[in-house]
Amino acid sequence: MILSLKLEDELKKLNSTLCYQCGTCTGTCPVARVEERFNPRRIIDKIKLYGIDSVLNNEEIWYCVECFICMEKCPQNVKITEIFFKLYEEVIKRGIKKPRKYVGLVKAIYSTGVSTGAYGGKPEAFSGLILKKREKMGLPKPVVKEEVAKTIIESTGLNKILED
Amino acid sequence: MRYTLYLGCVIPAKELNYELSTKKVFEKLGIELKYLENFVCCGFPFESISEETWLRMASYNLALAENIGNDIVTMCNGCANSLIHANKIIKEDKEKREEINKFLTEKFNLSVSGKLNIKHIIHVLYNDVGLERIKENVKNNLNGLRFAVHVGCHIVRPSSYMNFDNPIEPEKMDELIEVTGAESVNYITKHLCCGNYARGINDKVSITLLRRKLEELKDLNVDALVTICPACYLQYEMGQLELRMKEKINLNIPVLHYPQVLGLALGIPVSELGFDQNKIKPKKILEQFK
Repeated sequence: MILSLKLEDELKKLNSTLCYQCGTCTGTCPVARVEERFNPRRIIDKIKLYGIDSVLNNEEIWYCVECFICMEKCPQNVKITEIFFKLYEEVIKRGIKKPRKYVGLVKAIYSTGVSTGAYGGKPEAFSGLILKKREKMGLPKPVVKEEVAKTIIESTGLNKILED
Repeated sequence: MRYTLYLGCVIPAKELNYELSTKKVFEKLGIELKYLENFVCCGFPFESISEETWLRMASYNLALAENIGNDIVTMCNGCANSLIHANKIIKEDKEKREEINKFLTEKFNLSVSGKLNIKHIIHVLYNDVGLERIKENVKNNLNGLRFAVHVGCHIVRPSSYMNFDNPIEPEKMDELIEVTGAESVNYITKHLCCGNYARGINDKVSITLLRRKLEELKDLNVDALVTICPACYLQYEMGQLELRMKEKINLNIPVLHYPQVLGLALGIPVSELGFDQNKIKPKKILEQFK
C-alpha cells in the first residue's frame, strides 16, 4: 500500500489527476485505431478513480507503442506515455508479469552488451557471418564492452526479470 | 566538421546498407566520423521498464564520448532519443547528475557533464550542413522519382527534449528529399507509427499498422518508402517479406535509407551505397543509375 502511495505521488507529478477525459489520447492513438481493447483514456480514468492497483494486472497496458503522440496532443499536459512507463516499472518490480519481449531484450543486452540477438537465435552481438560481411564492405569491427551492460543491469536489479 | 559515431545495436548487424551509405555521404560532404569504441546499448529499450537502468546505460556511453570531445552522431531514432533525453537530464538536474557520476566513477572511472550535443544524421544534414550546401553538391538530379517519407516517432517526440521539426506533422524530411530533385509524395498515413514496437506484445497490431501504410502506398505507385530509423526500416522491409510468406500478399514496395537516396543525388556510385543489401530491390532506380 505504501508502495502504491509513493507511485501515485509520482503519477500526480506526471499530471495524472488533471485528465478531464476528453479522449484526445485515444482518438490520436495509432494502436487504438486498430485494436479496440486499447483505450488510454479509460486506463487513466481507472487510475484516477480506483488507484494504480486496478490496472497493473491489465494485459492491455502493454499495448502502447510508445509513439508519444497522445502526450504531445494532450490539452492538459498529462504525461500519458510516461505514466505507462511507471506502470511497467511497477509491474516488473513486483514480479506481476514478465513480458516476453522485455525478457528477451534484457537477456540479450545482459549477455552481449547490445540488443542485436534479442529476437530469436542464440544471444550473440555480432556473428562471424556479420563480421565477414562488414569486412567485405569496408566497415570496421564494432567494439562493444559487454561487461558494462552486465554491471549496470545488476546494479539496478533488472536482471531479476531473468530468474524463473 | 567531426563527430563521434554512436553505432547502436541494430544497424551494425542488420542494416549495413544504412551504415555504409551514411559513411559515404558524410565523406562526400567532408564530415569526419570516428566510431565510438567500447560502447554498449544506448539504454532505449529500458527507458519504459527501468528508468535507472536506462539512464545509467545512456550516461555510460555519453561519458565515453565526452572523453573524446566531439559531438555525437547516430543513425537511429531510438539511440538519438535516448541519448538526447539522458543528456538533458544530466545537464539540468544536479541531483541526478551527482548520483550518476557517483556510480560511473565507482564502477568505470568515468564521469559525465552533459557538455556534448547529440545529433541524428538528419540533424547534421538539415542543421549543420544545410539544404543549400546539399543542393550545391547534387550531381544527379533525381527529378522523376517519387518517394514516400516515413520520419518515425522518436526523432520528433516528445518535443520537450527532441525539439526538431513539427512534432505531429514533421516536414523537414520532405525538404531533404526535394533538395535532390525528387518528389516527396503526400499521403494520408504519412505520420502513422510503423508499429515495430508492438512486436512481441501484440503482433496483430504491428502487422495491421504496417499494412495500413503500405497498402496506401501501393495505390500511389511510389518508387520507394524512405526511412531514417533502423526499427522502422526493419518493420517495413521484413514485414513485407512476412506478409508475402504468411498471407501471400505481395506489396513489393522498396524501402530505402535516406542516405542511399542522398548518395545517388551526390553522385556516389550505386555499388557504394549498399543496395545489394536491400531485400526489396528498387528496380526502377537501379536501372536508372546502372
